[in-house]
Amino acid sequence: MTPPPPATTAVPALAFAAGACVAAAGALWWLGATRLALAADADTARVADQAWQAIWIARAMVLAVLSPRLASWLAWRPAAAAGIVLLAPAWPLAVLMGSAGGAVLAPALRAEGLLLAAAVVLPGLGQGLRRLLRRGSLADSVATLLGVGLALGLWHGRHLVF
Amino acid sequence: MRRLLVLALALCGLAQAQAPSSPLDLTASAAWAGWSRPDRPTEVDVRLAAGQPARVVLEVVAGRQTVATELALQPGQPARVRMPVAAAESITARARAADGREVAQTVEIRRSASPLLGVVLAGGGTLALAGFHAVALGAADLPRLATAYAAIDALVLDASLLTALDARQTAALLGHAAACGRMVVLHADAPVRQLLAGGGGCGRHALMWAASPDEARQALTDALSHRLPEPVALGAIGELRQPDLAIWTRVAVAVAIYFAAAALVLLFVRKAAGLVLLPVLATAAMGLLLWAQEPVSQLLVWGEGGSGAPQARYQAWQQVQGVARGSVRVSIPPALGGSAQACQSRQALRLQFDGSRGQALGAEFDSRLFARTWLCFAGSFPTTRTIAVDLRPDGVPEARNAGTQAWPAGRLLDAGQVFDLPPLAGGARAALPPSRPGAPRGPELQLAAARTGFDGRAALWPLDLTGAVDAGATATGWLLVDVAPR
Repeated sequence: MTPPPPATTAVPALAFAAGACVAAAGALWWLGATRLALAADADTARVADQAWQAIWIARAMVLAVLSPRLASWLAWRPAAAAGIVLLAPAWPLAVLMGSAGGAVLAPALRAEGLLLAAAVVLPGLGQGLRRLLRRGSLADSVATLLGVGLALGLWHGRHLVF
Repeated sequence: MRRLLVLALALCGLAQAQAPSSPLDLTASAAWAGWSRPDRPTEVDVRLAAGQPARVVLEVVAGRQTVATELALQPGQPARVRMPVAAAESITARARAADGREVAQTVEIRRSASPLLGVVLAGGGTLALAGFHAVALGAADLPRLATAYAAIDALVLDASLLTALDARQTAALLGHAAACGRMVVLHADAPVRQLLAGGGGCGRHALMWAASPDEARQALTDALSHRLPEPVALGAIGELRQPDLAIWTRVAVAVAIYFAAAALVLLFVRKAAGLVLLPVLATAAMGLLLWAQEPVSQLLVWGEGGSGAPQARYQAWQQVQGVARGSVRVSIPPALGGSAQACQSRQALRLQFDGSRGQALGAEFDSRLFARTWLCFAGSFPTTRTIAVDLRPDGVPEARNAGTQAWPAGRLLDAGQVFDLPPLAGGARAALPPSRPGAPRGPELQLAAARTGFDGRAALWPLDLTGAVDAGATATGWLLVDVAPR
């Protein structure tokens, strides 16, 4: 059995770093906007709802681009694991923002479940492309294009989720 | 035949067992003969009786606000509770016994778009006043809670009817006079004048005397051209309503620690399972953090009165900042329980009320992390500040404690200038050095300046609110005393 190439061992860490960056940016925005809303006696719930939606859509778009490409490059299992690792860093913020937000919790939980399902399903798409097209470089390119298309679709259809 | 008899007896027993127990009897009515104004409070008088001993929960629902109390009813001893509620179009009083019996009655409130003039004359009848909707009332229509006087804009009262008021009605009327309510009293003799005039130093445009309804109308017409001190609105307290940032700081620190831990984990962990473990543990920790925290409560009191007046009127606001989604219950300071209400009519709120003392004990409402809920209070409290300011021959102003009791250190505002007011014993005097240019002016001083006016002169003292609130809550308050009451 050949060991995985050195680059692939860094994939989970890179996915975690990407997820943590998205979450940190969202948290920074949320805390700052909440601080301003408190000072101005404005609605803090709306800020929390918007921040969580922004974090969700950002993670969904990153997942849509990376997941098929990673699966086409590596395999389904490491790509699915990387997808989950990408999503996880925002979960503690979900507790805080869900508690501060005014939105109903069920749709937010459903949306997070949808992301987890996508993290498992999208790598299957990438791996299917690799088997179908047989040429690795072509499969990678098509998977990337597919991911970008998915991300654009998500951006335009984001109002359907929340 | 015997079988038939047994069957009949059995059926009788069954019928007896299933018969409804003695019903509850509930009668509800509103003060001011059912009149009030939108977004003002009123008072609902509920009489409740039961044919057998019962523990009953009485709720009065007005819009999104509910006032609830528990009563122990005994046969032949009807209970009577007066509850302060928002003047919604219809108010429902509902009593529910522990055994499931329930009774309800709806009281319609007539909400006047025009200012309301309550007219309580000995011979009945009313009087017309331009721009006002006059309502003829009897002594029984006057409320027992001072807060309910906010329902009307002016009152004409025949002093001969004061004897028909019970003790709580009289106390509420005196509270209204102390809070600068506009009122004309007909045929008032010296003791009545002395009793009512010992109010908040609101001047002759608040409390007036008249010998006839025509004279009362004229007095009111003249007085309406003079503005009375308006209550301080929640929106007008400016920087004083700044939130306590303790919860925000705790959350920000928790988030920062989490991301610092994530950065550390990134340095040492490469496996996906290990990386996911940190967010999972942090999620549980954040949940615990929210669960373990208590809502933050801040009380703010702003009192105003005239120099030498025995009473000062106040507005108070209790801000409760939530820490998690769910229902929050806060206790209400006992001294303020008589006038507790939600500051915004759209705020859903449930007040736990002690009917025997006429006071709210606690408030319950839905909250969220960072959400701020405001409870409003108003009333009057006794005070003994008498201050005189004279100009010495050298041009330096001098403050004199013209009362008998000492006062603490405060500030004096005089035509836009601010002086430090030293603590003074009764009868003592002290020179006031000129204020330092650029001396810091806190939000309380800004509000005091706004209330005093450019050419006004008033003293501002911090209020000692030790023990006014529960441990863990903070309370701050100020008393603004007009040095030369107008």
